[in-house]
Amino acid sequence: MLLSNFKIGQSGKVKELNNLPVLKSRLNHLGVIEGVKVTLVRKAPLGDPFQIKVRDFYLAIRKDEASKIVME
Amino acid sequence: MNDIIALVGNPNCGKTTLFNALTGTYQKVGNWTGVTVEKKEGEYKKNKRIKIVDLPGLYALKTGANDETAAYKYLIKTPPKVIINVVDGTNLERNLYLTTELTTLKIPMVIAVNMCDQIEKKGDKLNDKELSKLFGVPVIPVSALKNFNVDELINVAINNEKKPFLHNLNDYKGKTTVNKRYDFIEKNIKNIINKPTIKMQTFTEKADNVLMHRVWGIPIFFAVMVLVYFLSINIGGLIGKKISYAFEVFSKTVEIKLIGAGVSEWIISLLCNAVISSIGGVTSFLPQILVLFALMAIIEESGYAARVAFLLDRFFRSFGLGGKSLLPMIVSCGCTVTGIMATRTIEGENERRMTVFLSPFMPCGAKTAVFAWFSTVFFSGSALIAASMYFLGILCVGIFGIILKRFNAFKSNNGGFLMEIPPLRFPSGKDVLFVLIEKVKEFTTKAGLIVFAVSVFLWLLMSVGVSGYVGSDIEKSFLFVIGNALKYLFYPLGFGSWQASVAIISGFFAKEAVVETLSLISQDVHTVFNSAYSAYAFMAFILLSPPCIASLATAHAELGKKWFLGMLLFQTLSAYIVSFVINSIGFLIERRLGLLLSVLIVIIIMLSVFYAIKYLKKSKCRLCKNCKKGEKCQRVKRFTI
Repeated sequence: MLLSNFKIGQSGKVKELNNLPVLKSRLNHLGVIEGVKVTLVRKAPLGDPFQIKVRDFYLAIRKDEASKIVME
Repeated sequence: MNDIIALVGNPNCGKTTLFNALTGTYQKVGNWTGVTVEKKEGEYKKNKRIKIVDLPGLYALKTGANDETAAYKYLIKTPPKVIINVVDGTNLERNLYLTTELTTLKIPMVIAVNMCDQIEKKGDKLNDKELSKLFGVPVIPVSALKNFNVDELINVAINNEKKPFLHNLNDYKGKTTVNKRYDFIEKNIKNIINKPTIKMQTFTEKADNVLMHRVWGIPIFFAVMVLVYFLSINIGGLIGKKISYAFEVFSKTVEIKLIGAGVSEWIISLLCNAVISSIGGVTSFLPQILVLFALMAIIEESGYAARVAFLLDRFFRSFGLGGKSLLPMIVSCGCTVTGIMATRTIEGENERRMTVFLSPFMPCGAKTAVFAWFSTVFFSGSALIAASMYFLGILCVGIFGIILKRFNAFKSNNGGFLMEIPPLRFPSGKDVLFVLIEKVKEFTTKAGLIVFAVSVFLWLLMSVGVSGYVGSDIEKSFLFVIGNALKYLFYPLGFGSWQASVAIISGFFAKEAVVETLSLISQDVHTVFNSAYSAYAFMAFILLSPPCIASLATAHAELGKKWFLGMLLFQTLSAYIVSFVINSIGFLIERRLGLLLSVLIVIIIMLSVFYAIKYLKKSKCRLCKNCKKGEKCQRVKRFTI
């Protein structure tokens, strides 16, 4: 299951971050690491980007990047 | 020697607000990531010997494997006496990550838990003693916004010599250091902050359901922008008109008094036509610009700007920009200078360059004042006409973005898009007020002086000709000669009059000067523009042509000489083309051809010109004389960008 396939309101834990050379460390620093709970809050009008909730704050992330986050 | 205190913390955790509270200066505050792009220094207002440095917000000290942040380099090179680690109390888990990194610096530290009033509102309970025990440094709950505990914070900080514990993270299971640090935080966070088990929907969540709605989000944004323009033009414009009238009366009185006193004609002319009218012109713009700035500050500070970036990111990406380019563009609606500076938060160099090229297309406060004046004079004060400039700006950003994207130098080397969406906050009246005070200062010095100088200079050109002082016989002046020489350039755009040409030149100094110049050199502006659509084409030219001197200087600093010249050329060309299109459509509509048909004809003409140029270029290679490869020739490829 990928984060990009989540339905709005669905939560899950991050299993791994794939193929994200540039963004991986930035996501990590923001606390998006293996095992953290992520909730898909909403999608923007064109279905991209996504708003996710992680560790008590909100983050905007594009579909491309979300499709590289593998969820448990 | 002075004692230096450095403020370090995540973006958007309230460092700048704290800095303002401590130093009594007023830096710009915004509710989105990256408002502080350079470090700022100030003195503690109660003890000038204590120097406070506000570093740009950062989530981590080293962003990549080798990528050290500027803040990190600063802390290593010139270690301050003490670091104040500002953490957002409503979002401790992530904020403490940076804290764990800061422990490695071995510099004395104090943790300031900011927004402590918000923590209780959220229903959480902070255990600051536990936090203090965990890191071995003093912890002070503060509220920078409410000025709560900030002096206490400095007292503790300046006397603090405790360095934070360097925790041994090897006990934690994670694979990488980042994981270990977060595991460490996760294990201890429960003792530091107590969260209620039943969660209520917060204000932000409720409001976001409306503001970021999939269907209504974008219409709401457009409605907000129309409202902003409506308010600034109507409220600001109304006060402005009163001021402008008062100055007119004043000017007349002075004129009569001076004529009575027998002062020579040219002095009266200089005083009344140049000095008083330019000061009057500038002051009458001020209310509009102030209202616009206050509203822009509210949009930025409340966190709405970040939400708009989220809503429109996908749209922006289709022409090579990203959501992060949107923030500089929104800021540009206030002032292009700050807009161009805000592009520094964009990671990709190409995307950043493109944003600097395009963000001057957004109507800044000064341009808005020009549009408001035009809509009063030519369009019976319709707020829609002024607002339409805003949409024209957006449209041109789109169209020219797509064109620029064809060049390699503007292709997005996508760094991705990660943006924190901060909680909505009610903007503090204080911060908005300070933005306004700064603006008044800047406006009276920058615009005021330039407009004044331009007016006096223009008056000189206008009143002096080959035969010396020409008085009101303007057609013998130097200005008439210059304007007349230039007007042929603007014939295709519909405003080929010498007055309009001179106004455009004065606009390069400051956009506010355009109206000033027009009213100074023409008895009746309706004779300058023979139709409403040529006035509209003129407005479009003002909107898109290169911005004022101050913005150009900023753009030059950001882009370097080569790209700066490219930008000048690009913006002049875009302005010319768009004005031409508007004027042609207007002309055809006047000939009763109907809107659709007119647009169609103009598009066909433009396309055929475009393809003709392309064809001519293709048929001949530009560099080798006998080569028939055209644009595909290797030599050409080497020389094109």
